[in-house]
Amino acid sequence: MTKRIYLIGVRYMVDCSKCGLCRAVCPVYLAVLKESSSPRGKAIFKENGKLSDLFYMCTLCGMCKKNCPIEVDLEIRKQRTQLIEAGKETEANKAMIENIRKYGNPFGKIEKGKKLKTLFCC
Amino acid sequence: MTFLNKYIDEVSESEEDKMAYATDASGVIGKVRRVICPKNLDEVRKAVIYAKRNKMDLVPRGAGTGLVGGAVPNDSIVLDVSRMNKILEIDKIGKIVTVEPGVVLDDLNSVLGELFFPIVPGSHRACTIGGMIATNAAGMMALKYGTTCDWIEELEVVDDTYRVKKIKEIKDFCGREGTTGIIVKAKLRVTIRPEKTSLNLFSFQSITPMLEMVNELKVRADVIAIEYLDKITSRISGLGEKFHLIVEYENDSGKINEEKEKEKVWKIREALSSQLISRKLEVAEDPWIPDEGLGQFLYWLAENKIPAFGHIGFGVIHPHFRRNDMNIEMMFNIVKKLNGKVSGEHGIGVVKRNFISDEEKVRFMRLKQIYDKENIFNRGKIYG
Repeated sequence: MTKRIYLIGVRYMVDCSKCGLCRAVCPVYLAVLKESSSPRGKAIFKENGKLSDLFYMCTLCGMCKKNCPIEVDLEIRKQRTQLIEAGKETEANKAMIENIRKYGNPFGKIEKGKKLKTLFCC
Repeated sequence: MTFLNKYIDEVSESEEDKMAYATDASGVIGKVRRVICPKNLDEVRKAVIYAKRNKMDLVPRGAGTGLVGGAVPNDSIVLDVSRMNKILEIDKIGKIVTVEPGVVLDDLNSVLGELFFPIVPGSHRACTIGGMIATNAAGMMALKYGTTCDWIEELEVVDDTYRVKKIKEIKDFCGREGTTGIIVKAKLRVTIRPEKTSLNLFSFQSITPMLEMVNELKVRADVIAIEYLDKITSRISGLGEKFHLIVEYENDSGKINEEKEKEKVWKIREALSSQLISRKLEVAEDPWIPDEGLGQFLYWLAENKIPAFGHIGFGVIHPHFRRNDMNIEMMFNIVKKLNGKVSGEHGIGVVKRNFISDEEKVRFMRLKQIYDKENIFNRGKIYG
């Protein structure tokens, strides 16, 4: 038990140092060029318990953690879970989940004879 | 529609923006009134007009990588120049580049080919040219290349008259932390990038032989950088509990020649500040110590178990402290006694306002009278 508490303690002691080096590699920040869209901005929201919609503005690519001098993990998925629990969800996300539940795919009802849209990925 | 919204595309008062822009790498937390992200000169001028008419404080901000709170607002409008990031002209023959203030240093150097802008602070991946000019950044190669001020040909600024002025008196803006106006364009000198570089990593049991080696290396023309790690920072970096020197040569006389190996060594060095700050040693100091006092200063740090590293070849050391550590004031007294300067490269910001000399105060007030009579630019920074 003591060991577990110690490990949790160590994990959370690694706070963001606010150095801002993550700005150089975050694709979302580089597109928006605003501090609030940077990983450092998100680290500030996380530290202040701010459940912001901006946690959805993340590609989950992990470049911020990989390039962080102290490998800070922003735990974006966890933040999004908390957002959903608080009823803050994007309309697109709601529609996709609804479609998956109803039709087994994120696009909605597929008419007979029609094909699913093709998804492209990296 | 307000004046700002009418003329500037990105004006924000959102809770998120206010939170994200309230601090910088110093960890000092201020208060944001509005955030403006201008994309051109005209929007900067409109922001200055608005600030002057409404007697508001305008805080220019680059990447927010400063360590003395120079970009921390005090119920101010934050002017984030990150979107003014065009490289306007590259004159490879004349070795001059013209850039907007939001250009990131590494982005600039990545397009210059055989040339480069040789001032390389630890934050080179993210820091902007505007921020480097405002703080007169130095960095790891300062031993050979000096500081940012030494490499500026001309600046274009917007002062409190809203006009764009070409400035030849570089030192009225370089190192003034945005207190004299907003830098909107910079003409920089660049130089030929060394064809090959190599590194050596030396370790020492004590300070005296290490300093002897520093003195020998400093006079060599092929040495670009001499970086120091004390026992504590060496241990944190996984190098063992010894004093270390990282030495960079502009030829292959060092033992570490492979790009990947060199990168690994520099990554250790560049991570140090964050490593210490994340361990709650949040106050990063940057005193400059003259050669004759360096030994005494390093011994004092070691005796008091104060972790430190720095650009020893240039005389700038970075001791780290916990907030409100009594040793900070004691260190400033020692620096004064040794005829050093309390800030060698980070600037004064809000953190070191109490330690500037009377001579600096007079100079500051004189510049404010010339460029910013109504005190709208970065109020409360450096002095006042």
